[in-house]
Amino acid sequence: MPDFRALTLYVIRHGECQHNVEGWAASHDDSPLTENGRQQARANARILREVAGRIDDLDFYASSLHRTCATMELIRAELGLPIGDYRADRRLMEMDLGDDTRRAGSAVRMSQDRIPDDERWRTAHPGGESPAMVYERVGRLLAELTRDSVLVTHGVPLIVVRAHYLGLSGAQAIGYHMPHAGLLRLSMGTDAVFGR
Amino acid sequence: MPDFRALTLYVVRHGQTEDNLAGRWTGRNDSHLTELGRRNARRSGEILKSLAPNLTRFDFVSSPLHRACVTMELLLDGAGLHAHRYRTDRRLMENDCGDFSSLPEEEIRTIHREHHERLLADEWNWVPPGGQSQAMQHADVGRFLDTLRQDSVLVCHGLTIRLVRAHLLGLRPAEVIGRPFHDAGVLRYRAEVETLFEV
Repeated sequence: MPDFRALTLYVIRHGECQHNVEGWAASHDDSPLTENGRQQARANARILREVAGRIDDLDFYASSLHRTCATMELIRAELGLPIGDYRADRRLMEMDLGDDTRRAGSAVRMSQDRIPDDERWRTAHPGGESPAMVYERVGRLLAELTRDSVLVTHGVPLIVVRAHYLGLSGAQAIGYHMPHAGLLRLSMGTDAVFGR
Repeated sequence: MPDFRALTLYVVRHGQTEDNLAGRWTGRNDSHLTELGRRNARRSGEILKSLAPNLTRFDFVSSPLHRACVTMELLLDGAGLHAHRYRTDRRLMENDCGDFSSLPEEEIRTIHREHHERLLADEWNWVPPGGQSQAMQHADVGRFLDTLRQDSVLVCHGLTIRLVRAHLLGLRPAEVIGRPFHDAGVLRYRAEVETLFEV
């Protein structure tokens, strides 16, 4: 089985959702994609086709939450692929914020910003997860990949996929931000963002 | 604050999935609804509409896993309501069966026989590798039910429905485990009485 660092990975966030617009943290809860979010998903499909060239040989994985599966299905429809032919895996779910779920995103960020990066990496939300715990579970999925793959996931899992691929420490990885529109390509030991 | 046992609750399992049909466990992964699953989800909405003429005053809550949300959207459409007038709550997610997610039940029985024997000995407290027990999820489901303030429609999963039943009917673990999942239809809980309306 090839190491996932020998593969090319295309990582995409779900399209913008109602909770992103309203400014609360959904985490393991969900909210519907906005019309803008649906357009982002279709645009990301077109970027994927352009960047990847051949799409027939790719494996497709989504987080099993509703917003990421809905995004994946819009992407596959746009690419003209059978809509349901992808795997929905729990290990790509957003970081579990536990008791911080549904709190205002700004309040969650403010309480986090006071903590140094390396400590924040290991600090679990009350009743939930730390980025280091997400790093661990996402790593188990990455170890199972056998072909170049498209991953449709969330903000924190995207950060940890990039950290695994580039061999970054938690402190190096944690400040990374990827918008809903755009595609992160991890290939040949480097990262590149398309469509920003 | 109304106790959730004083409310009328309608509970629906997600429609049949490809995993259900093939005899695989799904847990917190996801599996697509079959055509039958989609049809029954819509039909559940029609049944709800006939049972509860005041449906617009209900709170609609789904598990955030894809198969449950798709079921909820088909159900709302079947009931003649807007497909997005619902919220989700993570505590309604299916029990996490860890490393057994997406495995055929046959493989769990044979290749993972020691685990399966422990499950048969004490299903309530059995913890799948990398997952959680039903006992661990029981309190979470209770905390969710405590947040309900009005008559509600819940869409969730086979094991989660067992835990909802345990709370609503005041049942002990031995009384809820081992019961086969109802595949399709609407369960109504009112005044601690359970009624199944089949599709």
